[in-house]
Amino acid sequence: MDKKKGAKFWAKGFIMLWIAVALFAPFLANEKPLLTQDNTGIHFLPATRSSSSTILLSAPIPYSPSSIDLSNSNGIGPFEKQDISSPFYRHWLGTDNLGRDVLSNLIHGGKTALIIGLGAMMIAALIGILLGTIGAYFGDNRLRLNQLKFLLFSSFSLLYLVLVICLIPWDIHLITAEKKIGLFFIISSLFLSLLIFINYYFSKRQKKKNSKTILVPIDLLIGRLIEIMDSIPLLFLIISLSAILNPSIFTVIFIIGLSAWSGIARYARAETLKVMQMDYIASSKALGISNFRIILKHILPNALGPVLVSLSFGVSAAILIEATLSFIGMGLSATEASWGQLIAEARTNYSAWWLAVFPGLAIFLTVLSCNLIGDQFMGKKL
Amino acid sequence: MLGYFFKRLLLFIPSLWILSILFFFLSKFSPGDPALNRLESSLLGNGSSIENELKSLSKLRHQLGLDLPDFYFSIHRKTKSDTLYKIPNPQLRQQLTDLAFESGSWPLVNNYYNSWKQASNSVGLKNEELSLLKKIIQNNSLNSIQKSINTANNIQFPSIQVAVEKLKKNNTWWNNYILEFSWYGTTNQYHQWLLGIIKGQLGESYSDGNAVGDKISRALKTTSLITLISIFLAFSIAIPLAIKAAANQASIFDKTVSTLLYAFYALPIFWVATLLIIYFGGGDYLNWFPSYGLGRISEESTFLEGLQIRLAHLVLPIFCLTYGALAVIYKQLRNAMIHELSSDYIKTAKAKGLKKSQVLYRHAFKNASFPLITLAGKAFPAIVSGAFVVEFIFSINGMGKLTLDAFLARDYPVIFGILMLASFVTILGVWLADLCYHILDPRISIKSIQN
Repeated sequence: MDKKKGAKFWAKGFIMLWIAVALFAPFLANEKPLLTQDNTGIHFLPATRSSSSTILLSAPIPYSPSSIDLSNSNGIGPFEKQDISSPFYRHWLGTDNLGRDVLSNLIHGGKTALIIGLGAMMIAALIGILLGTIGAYFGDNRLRLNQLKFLLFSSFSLLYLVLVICLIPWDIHLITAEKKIGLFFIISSLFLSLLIFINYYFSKRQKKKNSKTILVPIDLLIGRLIEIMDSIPLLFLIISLSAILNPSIFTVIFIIGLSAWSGIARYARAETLKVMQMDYIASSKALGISNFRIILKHILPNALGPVLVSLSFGVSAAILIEATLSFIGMGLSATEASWGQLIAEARTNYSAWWLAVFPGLAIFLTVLSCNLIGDQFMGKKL
Repeated sequence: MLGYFFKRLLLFIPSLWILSILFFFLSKFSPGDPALNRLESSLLGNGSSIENELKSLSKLRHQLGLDLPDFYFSIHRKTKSDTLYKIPNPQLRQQLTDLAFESGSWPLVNNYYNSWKQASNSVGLKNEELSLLKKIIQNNSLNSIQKSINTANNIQFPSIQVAVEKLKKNNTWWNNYILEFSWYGTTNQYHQWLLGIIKGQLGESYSDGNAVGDKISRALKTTSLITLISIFLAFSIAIPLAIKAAANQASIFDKTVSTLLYAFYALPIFWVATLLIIYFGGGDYLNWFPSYGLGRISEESTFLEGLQIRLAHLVLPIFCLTYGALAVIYKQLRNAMIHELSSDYIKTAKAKGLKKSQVLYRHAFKNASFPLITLAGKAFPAIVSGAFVVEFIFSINGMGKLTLDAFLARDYPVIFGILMLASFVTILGVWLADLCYHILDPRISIKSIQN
């Protein structure tokens, strides 16, 4: 028992350390001084620095991830003699082939990994939980929609897709990406407001007369979708998507999030089915509470716990995927610090063990800690 | 029950069809042009004129079947041409689309393009005139076209100027917000490709003209060699370990193996592979194993020598592929074994005086082996796509390298072939696992399979 508690303690401690380092990365490793003083007063993280100012406080590691130390280029090891003016400027974990500080890259790579791990899992969880709970709640024979409403809804969503794909000038170079996204939001919001209005209008009229209903086998449809997603090899899908989109942190989050939700959907579906057996769901149905409210207030709070815990495995998987993508050169651009990229550099310089060992250890410990914490909360044994 | 499995086999068809459309549009949206890619590699450094380049481009596009529309129909802005696919050069396509978006009228832009074509086709053009024509067509806005016309005072192309004036005068920007529907029928790229697949032909590779099926099967041989060995090794190592650990639960053996394999599971493959190469494969340290490819076996060498070369090359990649799978199999089987060992029939078996090995293997393992079927079903697609990173690191000419190269060269037929094959094998693996479950234990109902 003690050993297990110990492992959990270390895992928690490492995760906290990782998050803290990631949050304070710009203050831990930065070539710019943090506090300067000149005649106008004290400046915090000054953008430009006049020559008369004095440095009050600088970051403990005086290198940004992309700052190049020319006198220590070609990969100087942590224990080798380094060409530095004072011990303060020492590269504690060595430099890479271009003369960039490994420790600084490790710290900022941790920030990238945290953002990508959490961001991707947030998108995946949103899609997965939504589809999983809806599929389990309504099943194949409980979602009855008014025929007219169903037709309206499906034709509107089709129209929306057509509008978004065809009307927004994705293919025009003269228009900036911001304008395209702005147009997308304008069309989307117009469309949504129209949809809400029509829904409201028809729901008012519907009460007066009975009309035909249509059975939507929503569970079957979502199940098919999950099966299709599952049948594409994840790495292939992600690589083909990153060949299309220009990889930046946000596109990588988007790509991983969109590709990795099927497991969460499965899990959310199973948990919802479990909760659905409970008596309080039957009684709240008997009380006539709306489906939407039952899902939101009664099912989700009870089913969400285990699903959220399972996300810790997802975070570790997302970190691994990002590192793999960066490693094979289809991930983030070279200006972005990433653990995978550091290891990729080790491949070009076999004698530089420090380029492989430290970032690899960082990935290993992060993934191990995430898995340990997930397992502990799930109540599984080691 | 068997009818259910047959029904699911039929359900493969719509799934694969949806996937084929998905992959097709994924490739259509990706940047780069396969015809241009191939032309650039063959015409490198050959200072040919724009006209010749366009001619050879359109010839190549026709040969590759790229001069057809993409899909059965298209819905597009009224200002976007429905015959844009006929223009060979992707850059030119982009510029004309931009122009049409600015001016709001495709026919007028087409008129301008035709007048430019006529001007550049006319006989006896001087070098200055040619360079001016080249300059004009490279613009993607009306202002910049006018500017480049104005820069040359002594040369005049009246027909182009008239066309540009017309474009300027008749600005109908609102056409950008009107949608148009055009129907192309079955003479489109997707249809041709789908027909080929149904006939069993995956088409020709864009990059070198070889048959895609041959390329894939060649790569598959290498990859399946590595993956099959590693899957076999992983199962044959993990099963005895898990049984022994479960039989002696909480013993030192159980604790060490469990912890070790749990840690293995978190080790990123590409890191381990890189470290192995650095420390065992040359580098500055030990030089025990070759780290590049699968080795070449000369024809004079005996079978044993050949085997030696192959094995030496295979050790590191197979180790990398095996250790991760080991942990998964071990964990699943150990949990299942512990569950089975605590059930009543094991007590009965022990009580009637069976040997420990009989209890373990004949009774407990037989029932605990069901999760292994699912794992084997999941390992099935790994034969195709599982060794991606390992192949990349050890430079092995397998499926992983083929895929990566195809992505870099925009070699769509190869990408399609690989993606469809991988998806098909994945669906097939799940189906086979479910079928095995049913055959081995008919009590398992469809419901429990589905959940």
